[in-house]
Order: sequence, then structure tokens, then C-alpha cells
Amino acid sequence: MQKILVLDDEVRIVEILERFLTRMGYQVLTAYDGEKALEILKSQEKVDLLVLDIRMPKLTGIDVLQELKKTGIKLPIIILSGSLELHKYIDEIKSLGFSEESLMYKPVDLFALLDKIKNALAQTAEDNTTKL
Amino acid sequence: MSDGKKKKILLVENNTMFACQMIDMLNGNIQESFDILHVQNLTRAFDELERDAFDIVLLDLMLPESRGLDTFTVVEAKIKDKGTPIMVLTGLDDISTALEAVKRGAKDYLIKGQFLSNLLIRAIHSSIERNTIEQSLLQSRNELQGLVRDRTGDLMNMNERFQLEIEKCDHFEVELKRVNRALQLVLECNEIIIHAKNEPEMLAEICSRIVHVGGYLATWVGFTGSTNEKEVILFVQIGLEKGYVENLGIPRPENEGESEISSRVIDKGEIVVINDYESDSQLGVRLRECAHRMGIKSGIGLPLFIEERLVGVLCFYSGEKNVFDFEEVDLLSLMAQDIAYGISLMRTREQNKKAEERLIVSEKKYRQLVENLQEGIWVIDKESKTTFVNAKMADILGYSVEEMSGKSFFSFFDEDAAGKAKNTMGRRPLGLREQYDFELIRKDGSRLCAIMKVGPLIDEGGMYIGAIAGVIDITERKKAEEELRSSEQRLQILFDFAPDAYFLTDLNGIFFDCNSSAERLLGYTKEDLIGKNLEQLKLLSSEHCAKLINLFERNLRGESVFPSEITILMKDGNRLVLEVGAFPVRIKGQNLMLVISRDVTEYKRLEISQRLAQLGELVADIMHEINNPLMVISGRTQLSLMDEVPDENLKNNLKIIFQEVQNMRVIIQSLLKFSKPSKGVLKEVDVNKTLEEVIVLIEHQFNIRGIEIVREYSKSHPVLFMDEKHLQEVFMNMLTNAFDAIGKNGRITVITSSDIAFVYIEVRDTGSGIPVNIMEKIFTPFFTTKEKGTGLGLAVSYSIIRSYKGEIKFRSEEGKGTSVTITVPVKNS
Repeated sequence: MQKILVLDDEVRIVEILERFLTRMGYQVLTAYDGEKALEILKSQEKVDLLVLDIRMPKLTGIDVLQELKKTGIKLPIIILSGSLELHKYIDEIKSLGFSEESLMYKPVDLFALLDKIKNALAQTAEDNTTKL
Repeated sequence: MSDGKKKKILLVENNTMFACQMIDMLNGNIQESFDILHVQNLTRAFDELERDAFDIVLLDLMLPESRGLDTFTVVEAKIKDKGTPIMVLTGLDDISTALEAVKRGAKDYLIKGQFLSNLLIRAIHSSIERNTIEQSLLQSRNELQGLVRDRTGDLMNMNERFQLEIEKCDHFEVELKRVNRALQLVLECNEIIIHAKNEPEMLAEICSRIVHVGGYLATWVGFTGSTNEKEVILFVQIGLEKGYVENLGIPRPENEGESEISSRVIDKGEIVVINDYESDSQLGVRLRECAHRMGIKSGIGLPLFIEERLVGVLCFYSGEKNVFDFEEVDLLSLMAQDIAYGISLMRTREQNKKAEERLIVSEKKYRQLVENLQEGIWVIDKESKTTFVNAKMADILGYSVEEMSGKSFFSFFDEDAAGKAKNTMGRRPLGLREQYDFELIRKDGSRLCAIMKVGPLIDEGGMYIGAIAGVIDITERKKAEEELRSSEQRLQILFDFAPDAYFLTDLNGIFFDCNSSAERLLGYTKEDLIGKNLEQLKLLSSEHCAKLINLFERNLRGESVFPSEITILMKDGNRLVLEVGAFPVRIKGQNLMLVISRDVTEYKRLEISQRLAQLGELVADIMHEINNPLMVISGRTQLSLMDEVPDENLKNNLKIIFQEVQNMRVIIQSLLKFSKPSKGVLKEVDVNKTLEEVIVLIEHQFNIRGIEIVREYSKSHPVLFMDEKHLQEVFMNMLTNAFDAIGKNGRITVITSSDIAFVYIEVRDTGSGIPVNIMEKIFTPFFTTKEKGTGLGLAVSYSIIRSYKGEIKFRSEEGKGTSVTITVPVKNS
């Protein structure tokens, strides 16, 4: 069962995503701030995909992504943003090696998110296969 | 004495014995015989005396019917006329009675028994004799008396005649005196009239003379009323009771039917005389009483005529009756004429005096006027010598009035001007009035500009005697005019070359003038504009036209008005936003508006962009806060739908909720693009091709609604360097708008073209057009006329095109359609 980590300071959103993705057959881990998420990601636990928010108190989504790059942890991500100022971060996101495709605006259609997750996971699998 | 004739004796004796004794005595006388008749009583005696004449009567005093002296008296009375002598017989006891009888005319007495025959005879004789003598004496005396009486009668007659003559003389004298007096009065009146100074004095003096010289009791003068000619108003009176005349004119019940002398004069218009106030029937009781009280016995009323018009009445009253005889009336009538003449003379004199006074006042006024005039007045004679100047004229030239007097008119000009002045002066005798501008020379040598209005002076005979000129110093005015002119020129330059567009219009918006900037701004020439109004030129929509007129009106009212923005349509069809200020000005007596306009179209665009950017930021903040709750709604809905929902209704509701949230997402994403469109992937884009790709997508749907899409693509295949998606989005927006504007059945024409600098994409539709009043708002976010529009399509398109430094312009006519032109510079980055 693939593991998806959901990071959002909004408990209500985390709750929805957790229930939906669980229902769709994923194992869902949750974190309400960047530190907790990094803690999980840096642990032995293997996480297949990260769904994260950008605007958060304490560490932002960007901070988390930078920290991941710093530590060499690679995994597919999907950014969910409620902010319309996302374009401010696009360049940064790109420079961190993530595609614009990974961006999604709230409120998302859960099934669109699911498609994106599936695609991302498939892509990663494909990449890994190619690598192998 | 004996005359030979037998004496007849009547013996009255009741004593027969005594009678016989006496008869015997007498008959016994031989020398003489007597005829004796004896009666015994008086009655018989009277009979006998009646019947016959006797020489003597012997009368016994003591008779039966009469005793004593009475007997004598009775008989004596009976025979007195006959002159028959009586001798009384008495007894001894009554001698005193006999003596008394003798005293009373008895010739003698005899005492019975005491005489003898001879005594008796002698007594008879002596009695007869005495009687005879007495009788003849008496007769003589009577004759004498008769003579005296006759003489006296003559004398009396004479005397009477003299008396009459004397009376006649007296009457004439009175008459003469009266006539003299009247004459004197007339003369004195004339004297008064000649020397009188005024009417009241003259009449008062005349009245006084009438009473004191004319000797009349009273007099008065009255004039007919100005409104009622039958009314007489007292002017002056002497000698009358106070109020007498005044009461005449007042109609009162007690005055009813009375007619005073004056009223009769007024009624008849002729002289009226009342000779006797006591008997005059027309006076009435009251007036008669009045007259009686005042001692008036007669009166005369004389009419006063001036130029054959009855103007008044002069009345005199006299204390005597019947004094106004023919001659006097004649004289007084003459006097009345003289007085009337005098009155007329006084009045004429008074009128002349008043006229003269008025003339003096008017002359004074005129003189003051001339002296106070702000215009110089200059009068010259026919030799052009100055005869009069007013103080102002002298002041203008710096001379005193005296200095100018007598000097030649032309000596105040320089040679040149004098020549001209002489020429013009030559026309004066022709009677022409003219106006000239002249340069005159002041006393100090300085020059002054003057306007002269010159007119000829003509005497009563029509001869030219000189000229009069009104002179106004216009030196200052001329200077000011020149200054004004130069300032006007400066202003004209400012006006002509001002960078802003200046228009002059009248209050109805009709163009009067404009500068070259205005011509450039509107794309019309001055000739196109002048005389036309804003609406004729279709420069302004009626709404903006009203706005502009309102601006004018508020300016005229003096309200401080900020410049207004109005949108105008240029000759080439483009719209410009102008900032317009209007200021009321007065030029050549006309109230005009100076309209200063500045093209702020570009500024407005910038302003819109700025506003949109600000709005975008705000929207972004809000959206961030909204998105999370939306996400919760959307997510929860989807989760619910994933469960078995047995209630179809509920399921449907959930679906709708989810759909609506998704719609909101679309709006939010559009807003995102609008607030800051992503740069996207820039590459060379074939405009025709990109458009065609969009058209293909929607054409079918359009055709279903009867909307034909006509393509007029430029054959040069214009290319732009931009994100293809952006172009598609904008184009899609344009087409969608056109579709919505048409609704059903119509045509959309898509035209592309290009030049060196720009690519033009025009989308023309045959739709409803954009109402003018919303034209300004179409780019505003969330402004929409569509039922299901977001109001973001154009705002986003605009934002996109601006990000490529391009423009979107609309031309629209309500009911006919809209044309949207997108202009994008070829080199935009």
C-alpha cells in the first residue's frame, strides 16, 4: 500500500484528504506543520508522495521543499494552494526541481487530485524503472 | 243919527207890560217914529230874524227858554252875519250879566224900569250908529284882510315856485355829486390798475376805493369756480358781514329759492341792479334780513369778462334805494370792464413772470449742466474764434476758460490736423453734424486724442453763426485700447499655441472658435467646427452633452467646478477621454464658455490598470481565506457523494453544491490570471492559425444559433511573440461576447491585419451594441450585463493584452453592433 503524507495547517482539509485518500486505497500519514512533516520524511518510514500546502505558519511549504532538497530526500509532490499569489513561488518551485504540473489550486476536485496523484506515482515508478 | 228912514226894531220880551211900556215910549216920540215888532220868545225871534232885516234887536236876557248870558250868545250867533246890533235888557239884579254881554258884543244895555223914553231912543240910536260904524269898520277890515290875503296867496305861490326850483337845483347837485363820485371812482380804479403789482393787491385796493371814494356801503369781488362755473368764490370784500358771500354759494334748505345779485349776474352774464332790497321778490327772507342788518337798500352786480369769458362778478351795495340810475350804471359798467382788463393784465403778467422764472431756472440748470459735463463744450463763431468753452473743455486742454476765449479754434491743432479741421469746418455751414477723432495740443505742448461731435449753430433767420462741439478726451482710453490690443495679441498667441485644446462655445454648445491643439485632438478642422454644436458633430453622446452643458451652467452660477471627464468620439471613430474645464468668458458682448480640454485617455488607461492591480491584490488576499472553506465544502460534498446516498434529492443537492463550488473555482482562477497573468510560454504565434483553432471549437455551437462567422484573415499571416494560450483566451472572450450580443441570427466578422508596428485583430458583430452609459465600465472586474457572466472576461482580456503593451478598443452603436479591435505591438518585449 502506497503511503501519502498530507501536510496542511488546516485540520479540516487534512481530515478530508485523509478520509478520501484512505478510501481510495492509500495509507495516509498526516502532519499539521512543516517540522512534523520533515520529521516523518526523515524517519525510516518510506513515504511515496507528499501533498502539501504553501502558506503555513512556522515553516512554509517552500521551506519544507528546500529542506528536502538539502537533505537529498526525493519524492513526488503535489502542492495544494489556496493562495492566488502562487505565481510568486512558481520560479522557486521550479528551481527546486518540481514541475508546474504539481501545482493545484484549492478548492480542488478530489478526483482531479486523485488523477494527479496517480500520474505522479506512475511517473515516479516509470522513472525508477528507467533508472533501474 | 237919523237917515230919515224908519228904524225897524225887534223887541224880544216876554213881559208884556214892560214891552208895552217900551213901545209906548218909542211911539210917544214925535220927532221920529219906529217900526216895532214885539216877540215873546226866542223861537219867534229867530223866525222874524230869518224873515226880515232889523236895524236893532232889543233882547231881554231872561226869557222862558233861555236865561242870562246864554240868551245873548245864542242870538248873537244867529245874527252875527247880518251885523244886526243887539241891545240887552236886564233887571236891576243882573247888571253883571248885561255887562258881560256888552263885553261880548252887545251894543248897550238897559235896566228895566230905570230908563225913560229919550234914553231909550238915544240908546237905540247910538247902538245902531255904533253898530253901523262897527259894521263898516268891520267891512273895511275885511276888505283889507281880503287884500292882504290875496297878496299873501300870491307870495305863497311865488314862494312855492321858488321852493320847487330850489329843490330841483338840489337834486341836480346830488346827481352831479354822485356822478362825479362814480367818475372819480372810475378814474382812481384805472390809476390803481395801471400801478398795481398783482391781482390781490389791485382788487383789494379797488374795493377799498369803491367804499371810501365811491361812498358805497359794501363791495366784493368773486370769481367763478374752476370746476363749477355757476359757483362764485369770494376773492375780496369790504363792508359785508363775515360769511355773507361765502354762504351765497352753499346750497342750503334755508337758502332755497333765493337769488342774490351775484348769482343773477352769473346766470344772465349781464349787469343786474336791485333798486330796493326790501321789495325785491327774488331775494328770499334770509337775504332780505341780511341786507337789512347790514343796511343794504340797493345793489348792483357787474359781470367781469376776460376775452369774452365770464370769469367773475363785482358787486356794490348802497345804503339808499334807487341809487343806480342809468348814467351811474353806465359808468360802473365801464369800470367793471376796466377792472376785468386789469385782472387779465395781472394774470398775464403773473404768467409771464412765472415763465420768466422758469426760464431763469432752466437757464441756470442748463448752465450748471454745461459746466458739470464730463464732456468739453466748445462754441466758436463763424470766424472760428472761440466764444465759449466750459470748465471741462479748458481743463482738457490745460488752459483757463479766459485764456481760450477769443482764440482761433485751429490754433489748438498742429498744422496737419488744423488743415483737416478746416476742411471739416467748411462743411459746418451746410448744417452737417459729424464726429471726428482729432489730435489736439495742450497748453504744455502735449498731445491728446479727442472725439469731437460737431454741429452748426444757426440763428433764427437760418444763417450760420458758428459751431458747437462736444469734446471727449480719449487719450487714456486709446492707450488702454492699445494695451488691450497687445494683451489680446498675447492671449491670442497663448490660445493658438497652447498644448491643451481650447474651445470657445456659446452657452448652447455651439462652437465659436478653437485652437490648433483642439483641431488635432478632435481630428476636425476649425472650419468643420465653427457654427456647429456638439450634437451635430456627434462628438458627444447626448448624455455627455448634457453633462457638459450642466458644467457650463454651474460655472455660470459661479460654483467652483472641478474638471469633468467626458468621453468624445473623434472623427476617426476613436473614443477619447477628456478632462474638461469650463470658464465663462465675455467676448464682444457675448457670453461664451472657454472650454479647456486635455486628452487623458492614456492616463485613464494607466489608472484603470493601476486600479485593477490594486484590486487584484485585494482579491488575492480574500481568496486565500475563502479557498480553504471552499475546499472543505467541496471535499466534504465529494466524500458524501462517495457514500451510498439513498435519498436522490439529497444526492442531487450535493451534486449542485459541488458544481457551484467548482464554478467558484473557475472565477477564482480567472481572477488569478487577471490580477497577475502568468507570463506563460512566449513563442511566435501565427495569429490567423490561433484564431482558427478557437473558431473551430465553437463554430458549430454558433451555427446552431444562426450565427455565421466570416473570416477576413490577413494574407500576410501576422505573427506575434506571446503565449498562445493568452491569445486564445482573449479571442475566446471576444467571440463569446459577440455571441451573447447577437443572441440569435447574426454575423461575426473576424478580421486580422498588420503593419510594421502592430497586429490588429478585429471582431465585429451585428449584435445589440453597447449602451453608451456603460461603455466606461466594461473593463471593470465583475461588471457584467450577462445573466451568468462573471464580469471578468474583458477585465482579464484587457489585463492580458496590456501585459503585451497592446490595447483593446471598442466601437459600438446601440442596436447595430460592436467592433472590438485588439492592437498588439509586434515587438512587445
